[in-house]
Amino acid sequence: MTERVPLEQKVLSENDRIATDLRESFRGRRIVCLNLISSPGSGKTSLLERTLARFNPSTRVAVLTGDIQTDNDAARLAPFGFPVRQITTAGACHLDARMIERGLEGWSLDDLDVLLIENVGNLVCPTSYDLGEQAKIVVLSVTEGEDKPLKYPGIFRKARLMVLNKIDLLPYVPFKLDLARENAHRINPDIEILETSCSTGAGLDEWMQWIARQTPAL
Amino acid sequence: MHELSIATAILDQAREQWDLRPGERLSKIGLRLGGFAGVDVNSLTFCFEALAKDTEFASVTLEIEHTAQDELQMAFLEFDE
Repeated sequence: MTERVPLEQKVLSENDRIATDLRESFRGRRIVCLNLISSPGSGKTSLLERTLARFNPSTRVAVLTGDIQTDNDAARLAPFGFPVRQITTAGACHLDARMIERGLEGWSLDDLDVLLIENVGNLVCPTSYDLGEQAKIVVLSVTEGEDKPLKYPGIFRKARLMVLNKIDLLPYVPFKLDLARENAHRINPDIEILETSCSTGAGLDEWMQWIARQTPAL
Repeated sequence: MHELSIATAILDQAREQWDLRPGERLSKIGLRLGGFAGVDVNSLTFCFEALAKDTEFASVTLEIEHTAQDELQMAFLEFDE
């Protein structure tokens, strides 16, 4: 005899449980936690370099940066004087909440205002994993296709902000900015959009202002 | 690519329930998978079969109901007594 037992629990419930704990912990300390997601080479690390260079030294910022191999990104971000830690996933294509929990070990959260997480370069897998962040940010560069929001709708639905990066290259690539915006809004009518260039500095002031507006929910 | 960790989570949760039902055989796992969940069905099925092989769950069927939105939910388990 076969008995069907209803279960109705999320597959990633263990990840979500840890993420919920992290989110509570960030909220309680009024920490803004942002999770940056993009395909490899869209400029997440460059954007973080420019970001760290612009933060007021009195702002208490920390960075967790994820990669499958190497600590190259942490090495690039370390010179700015903020605590940076590399999470090497050894093959895994995404960060999960437990990696964040471990990555934070030894840091005093009471001494933190902003936690920036650079996810593994991948537009698909990181989408499924809640890291306890306040917002997911998707970075799309103009050397990719403007149809990325349609091809990878998951992350564009979940992201609060799309950063269109490398806009200094627009004269040299067939990327249609308006179409990219339209595609993103088709997937997520509420998504905010910023245009940046880490080479020329265009849009970076707006980006810093956007971060400053993300006051942690009480 | 993350289908392997998802398949692992599915089997872990199924095992938790199976452990509570001594003497019964798990025959089916019902999963609801949203179109925006970012999970590739073929890859998930492949990973599931690879992990279940040579275990007590080798003959378990993974039944996937496709839905909208981004849900990734264990819907039900079927046990044979």
